Amino acid sequence: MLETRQLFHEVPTAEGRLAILKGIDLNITKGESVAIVGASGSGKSTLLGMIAGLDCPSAGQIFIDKTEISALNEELRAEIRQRYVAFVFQNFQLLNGLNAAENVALPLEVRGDRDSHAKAIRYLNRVGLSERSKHSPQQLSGGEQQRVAIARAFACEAPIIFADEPTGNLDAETGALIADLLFELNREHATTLVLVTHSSELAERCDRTLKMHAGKFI
Amino acid sequence: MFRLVVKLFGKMLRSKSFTLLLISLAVATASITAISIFVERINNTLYSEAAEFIAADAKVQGSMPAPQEWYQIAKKNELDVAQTTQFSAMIFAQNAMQLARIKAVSTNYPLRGSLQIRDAANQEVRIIGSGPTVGKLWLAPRLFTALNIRPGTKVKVGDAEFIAEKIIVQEPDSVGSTFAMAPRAMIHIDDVDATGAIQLGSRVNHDFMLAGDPQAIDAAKTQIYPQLGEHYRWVSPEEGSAAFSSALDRAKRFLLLAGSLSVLLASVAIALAAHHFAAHQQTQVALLKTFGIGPKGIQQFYLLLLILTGCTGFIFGSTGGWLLHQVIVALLADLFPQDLASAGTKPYIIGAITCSVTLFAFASPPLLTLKSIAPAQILRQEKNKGNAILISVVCGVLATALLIGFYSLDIYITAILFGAMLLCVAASALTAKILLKLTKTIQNKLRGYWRVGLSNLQRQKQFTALQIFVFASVVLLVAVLSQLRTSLVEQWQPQMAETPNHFVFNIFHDELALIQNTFSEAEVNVSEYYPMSRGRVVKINGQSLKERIIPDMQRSDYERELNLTWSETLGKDNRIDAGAWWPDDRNSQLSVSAEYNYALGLGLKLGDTITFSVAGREFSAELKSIRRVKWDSMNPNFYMIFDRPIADNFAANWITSFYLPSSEKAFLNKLLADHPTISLIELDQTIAAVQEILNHVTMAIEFILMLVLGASILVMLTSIQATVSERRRESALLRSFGANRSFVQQVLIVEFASIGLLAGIFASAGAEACLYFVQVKLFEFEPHIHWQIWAIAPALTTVLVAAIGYAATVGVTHETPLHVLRTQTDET
Repeated sequence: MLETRQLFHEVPTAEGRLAILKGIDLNITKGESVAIVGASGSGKSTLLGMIAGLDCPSAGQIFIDKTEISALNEELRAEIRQRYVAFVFQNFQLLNGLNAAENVALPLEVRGDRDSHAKAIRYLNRVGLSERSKHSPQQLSGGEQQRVAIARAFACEAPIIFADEPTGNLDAETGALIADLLFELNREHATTLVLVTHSSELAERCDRTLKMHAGKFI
Repeated sequence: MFRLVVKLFGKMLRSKSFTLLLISLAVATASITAISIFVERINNTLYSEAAEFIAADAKVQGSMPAPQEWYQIAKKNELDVAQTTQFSAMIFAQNAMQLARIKAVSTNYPLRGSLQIRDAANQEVRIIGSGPTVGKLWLAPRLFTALNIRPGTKVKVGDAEFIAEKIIVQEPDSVGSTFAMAPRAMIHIDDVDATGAIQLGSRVNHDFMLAGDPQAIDAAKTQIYPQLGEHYRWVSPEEGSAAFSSALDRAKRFLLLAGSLSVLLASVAIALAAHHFAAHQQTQVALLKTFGIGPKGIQQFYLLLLILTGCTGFIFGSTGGWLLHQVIVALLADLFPQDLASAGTKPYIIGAITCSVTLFAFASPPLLTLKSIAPAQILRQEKNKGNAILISVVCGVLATALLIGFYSLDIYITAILFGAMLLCVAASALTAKILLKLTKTIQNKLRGYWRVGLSNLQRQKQFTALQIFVFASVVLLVAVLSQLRTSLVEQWQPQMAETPNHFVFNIFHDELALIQNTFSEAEVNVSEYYPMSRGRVVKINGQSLKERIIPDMQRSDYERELNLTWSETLGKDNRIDAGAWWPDDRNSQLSVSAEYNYALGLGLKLGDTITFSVAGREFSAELKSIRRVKWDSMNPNFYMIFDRPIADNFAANWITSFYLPSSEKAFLNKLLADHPTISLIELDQTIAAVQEILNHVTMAIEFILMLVLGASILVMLTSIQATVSERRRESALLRSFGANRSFVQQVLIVEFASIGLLAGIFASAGAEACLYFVQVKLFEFEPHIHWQIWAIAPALTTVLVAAIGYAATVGVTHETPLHVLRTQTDET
């Protein structure tokens, strides 16, 4: 489902070019859940951005469902993201001007889904927020906001879910509840789940854990 | 995509930064529309008042009657037509005769304005809308005296007999450009043939007068103008009188300048609000990209958003502009003597064009460059600094030049404001570098809030430079406008208070000393006496005049007879533009000085040899200087002045002007009784009319200045508002480090006061440069240093920016640091 070959990435700095990823080879099969762990600055979020098609590597290849996205321009990568990818972010990334249902419906509208509102309500029900659909993000707690974000990701019905520190901004108890919800939905929809986390508990719940250090898997 | 944009547009209206953008656009459109409606209505009103000075909306003057084809053109364009024919003829009464300038008028004369007459010397003045009927003759009061007759007496003009019916007190188009005329008499045009006064070779002037819809006048002009040739000249109301047109021209230029400045201010407000909005859109763009929208989709999204914003801004702006102008008109209702003319659709078109151009030039660069935001930015919690500021400045400067050009249709205004803007941009760019060095040096020697405040400027030097640019532009524009307003009003007031209001001419040389004596005995101040001969320019450097006249210039303006004079001294209302006034050691060659616009039309250069024809005699003179003349001084002025007599002094007529208050009018009777051969023109009513117009214009200027000031404060607030979220964060951080509220407030004051001081200094320099060009090139004032700007602008800007900045941002110190640091700053 998702594959990288000899992935390298460098960024320019005042001191010269800094290597972030140093030859990453990765293969994730359909329906698999994979955790990427590592210390801050190890390159795990950069890797997530690359394999999700958010950024382009300096060298190497990335394949999603056998399409080499690293060879595509930003316009075509956007099409791939629309078809294959959904995200859950550490800081939720809900738009303050929209209520919970509208936030969930937004990516569906981008995809031209005429049934976006009903679908958004359905997914909000699924994450236990049926009563809060008209509340704005500021009126929701951190855990509730992340549940809206999860509903948004799964409402897209994309085959791959990328989660960047999904419990990083939450307390342990709420974090555990969010993790339960994430894995439940993952199972229900048989999606491929790639998550970046510092939490060993969360990593242990995945089928596989990949540990990164200084831009490489160890 | 459209559905998504419409949906998010509705949501964005709740966002502060977007609302700020929309308000700026609406306020910009409203102020421009309001100014345009107001200017247009005043313009149309002034135009209609000005039309009274030529008794029509336009006329063609010629030495021959207008061809029949022009009557058909007028009819086709649904225009009203009137004709007048003017010639000199003797009027015979029982015991006296007098040469008079006869004006024969058609039944519907005047098309604009009215005639003021008396039925008898002791009767009240009556205002009427048409001239004498067939067989009747109306005369100037002086002709009744000279002919020793009363209304009702039979007189003869040439071969025809008339009844001297009424006394002409005032006729709308009495202000002629030539003074070589005898007292006026008026008959019906159907009586002209009967007089037999017009013979082959007679000097006759024919006026073909038009009135109606301005578009129809323009259409008729387009058709008639190419047929004018050598014998006809098109006259618009603005050209009707040199004095009037000069005052009107300055007023119009000022109003246009004010309009242009409001465009500048509005643009700055929109640019700032758009940058603020775009900065808050980055996370949303990255998020939309993760949903699968590509760069093209993002660009489409923001393009549609801009179109929707433009439409909304225009609807609110034009409605607001109409309401605003209604308020102004209501406030001025008592001051205007008549209903203001309607404005038409032009102001709304100007509003719509300005709204779209400013929106797309100033708001689109930061919004349309959002497409390049990397979607991975959403994972990194960073903001893209982007290159939109440079693009915005380039787009903004070009668009402003385009808008000002479109708005003012004046290359000088455009060039001057464009230059001033470039100066400001350059100064602000320079500031960024100087600031870095200066504040670094100073802040190291300071402690406490001084150090933190100055280091804030240094840390955000690019934004600080932008703010200095904004404030400097605002203060510069307001300083230029208020200084010009003062100059204009000062210029008009003394000019009108003691402006000569009588011209006396046809003074023969042997009578000159006696007349001077009469004036000095009566203690009446008289301007310079000038000898006057009629003549025309026939060749320049041996080349005939026809070949020299610059295209677009009316040939008859240059081929007609001029009043020529000679003088040792330069008149007070004349200023040498090129060359020099006569040196003491003049050579034997005759020298001449030409008026600036006349010289321009003929393409004259210093050293040119100009050949004149006076009374059938040709002679040449070398052009030694070119003069700018203040025609509205009401002193005798001339296109051509020689350094020595061109004719025998005894053959010349002399002319002068003088001021006489209405309470001393009796002096005129004595003057005319003692010197019956002289001619006198009373201009009191004309000057009063000009004064009334200037009063209206002064009020208009003051109101427009208030509008511009309002827009300036909005720009300042918008600019400061753009920094509020950053200051909230800084304030929270400083307080979390242990700084108390008062410390943070003092940091804010130091920061804003420093920005204000620097902006004030740049504004003073910019205003000085700008005023030099505006005053010298545009309004033809004497250049001088404006010390008051240097004294007031920096101090006032420091206080004002510090006060507005502090008032707008002090709220950030009232929130708890925890709340601020936890709150997300990104908006939909």
